[in-house]
Amino acid sequence: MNTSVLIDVNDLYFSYDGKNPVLTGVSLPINKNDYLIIMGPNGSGKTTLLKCMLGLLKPDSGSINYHDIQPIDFGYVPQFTTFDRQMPIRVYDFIETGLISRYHPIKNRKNNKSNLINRQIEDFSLHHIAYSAISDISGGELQRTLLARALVQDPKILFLDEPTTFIDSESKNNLSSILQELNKTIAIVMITHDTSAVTDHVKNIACVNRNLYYHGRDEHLDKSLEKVYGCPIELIGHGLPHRVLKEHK
Amino acid sequence: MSILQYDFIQNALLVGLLLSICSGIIGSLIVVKRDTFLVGGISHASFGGLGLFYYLGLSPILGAFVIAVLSGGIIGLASNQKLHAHNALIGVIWAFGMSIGIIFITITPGFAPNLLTYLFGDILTVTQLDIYSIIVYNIILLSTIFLFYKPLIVYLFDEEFAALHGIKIRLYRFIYYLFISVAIVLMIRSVGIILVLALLTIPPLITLPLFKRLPHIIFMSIIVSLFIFTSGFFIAYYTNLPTGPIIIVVGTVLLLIVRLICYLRKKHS
Repeated sequence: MNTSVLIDVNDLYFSYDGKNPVLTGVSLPINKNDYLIIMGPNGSGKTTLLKCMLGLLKPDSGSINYHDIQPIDFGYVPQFTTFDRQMPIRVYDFIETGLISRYHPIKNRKNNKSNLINRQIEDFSLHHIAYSAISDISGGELQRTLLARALVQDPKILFLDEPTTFIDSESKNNLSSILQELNKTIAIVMITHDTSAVTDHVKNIACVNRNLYYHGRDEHLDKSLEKVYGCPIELIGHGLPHRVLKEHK
Repeated sequence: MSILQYDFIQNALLVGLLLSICSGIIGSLIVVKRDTFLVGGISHASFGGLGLFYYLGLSPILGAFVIAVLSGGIIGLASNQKLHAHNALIGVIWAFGMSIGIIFITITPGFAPNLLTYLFGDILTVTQLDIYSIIVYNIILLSTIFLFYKPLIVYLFDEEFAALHGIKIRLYRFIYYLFISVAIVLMIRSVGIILVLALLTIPPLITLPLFKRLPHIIFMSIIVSLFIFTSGFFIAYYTNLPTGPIIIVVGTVLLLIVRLICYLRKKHS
């Protein structure tokens, strides 16, 4: 086995009801220091694939092998829409919940975690809202808070589910430079249907629509995207050559 | 105040204080987790247990407890499955429990007046046993919350994230439902099935827009609950109206006033 592979997905099948498959025969490696983007239209099974990799959903068949990595090493930034913004919790306390796997009801009730939390607050410039309720902050701030919660326990791999959906373009650029910086030390897996999220820092791209078409960074990407989205589609992103769109059939 | 010299009045006020503690805590948790409907289902289903055990000649309150735990278990198990009709299932359990209860009361020979008191409760007839049960429950509840507050927050706010970080969701759900079921049964004795839901939900709905943190919401819900209970109790006593409904009316009026003030303040800021 290649030692640089962190997660190895093999011939994965998944359905929610036992009848209609959402994923069929998906295989995909995630490498150490990978920057993988999983693309596909709505309902293509991207999030399902991610949840299988996180161990939150159990596949019908196929295997996922983890090398030198455990669930505790996963950082996870969920979709905005699955997330209850009305909850009564402050940004600081919310980031602290990222450390929950280290909590023990008797042994380390009060171990010194505040420096870990404060480091995240500093890194993501959240000082001004650290003691505001989650419900009172903006979309971009919530995005950074979710990232801080995912990163506070030093994960080895960061999973992001549609992180660009509800943020403005400035926050988007911000996010992409944060991820680029993070990718120097940890692997990143981002799910998106937003083709502009593909920047030249991305190392691998996988296209999902029940089946998976996996790529390194090669020139056949537009062919696969066309297959997945069912129409010609053009990648327009930073650092990528812009091409003229083909006629839409 | 002369009415305070009666034992049953003192008992009633003591029960009010003790129930405010557990309903403030449990109510805050269920409102934050949006499980109000579930609690309605469990409390009404337990009426079926009351009727069945009454028919069998057993303790009705024990029947309520068995069915409350059972229906909580069924609803909890169903939410583990990939079932879309979860809320509808709660509705069925709700209606089925009430119907079974009424059927058993009807086929039980003789008149069953004390079963009706379980619908609206009777705070003036609480016994020492009731008081001790609530005290024991409160101690267990408070120590559980104290020890497991942090994982509990993660469970309440983000089950998926909790599961990812090794929190045993099924175990938490089971314990959470068990605490809810026992609280419901304890409250049924004094305020009745119909009013359990209102007493659990009104105080947190009042405090939710006013405070940012769950511990503050829980603490203030206990205070609000105590205020509603005591003022409702005395109003009912002096106007000679039924206690339970008066308590709920006082709570609802307070809720409307607080929400109106919040709305006006937001509009003018």
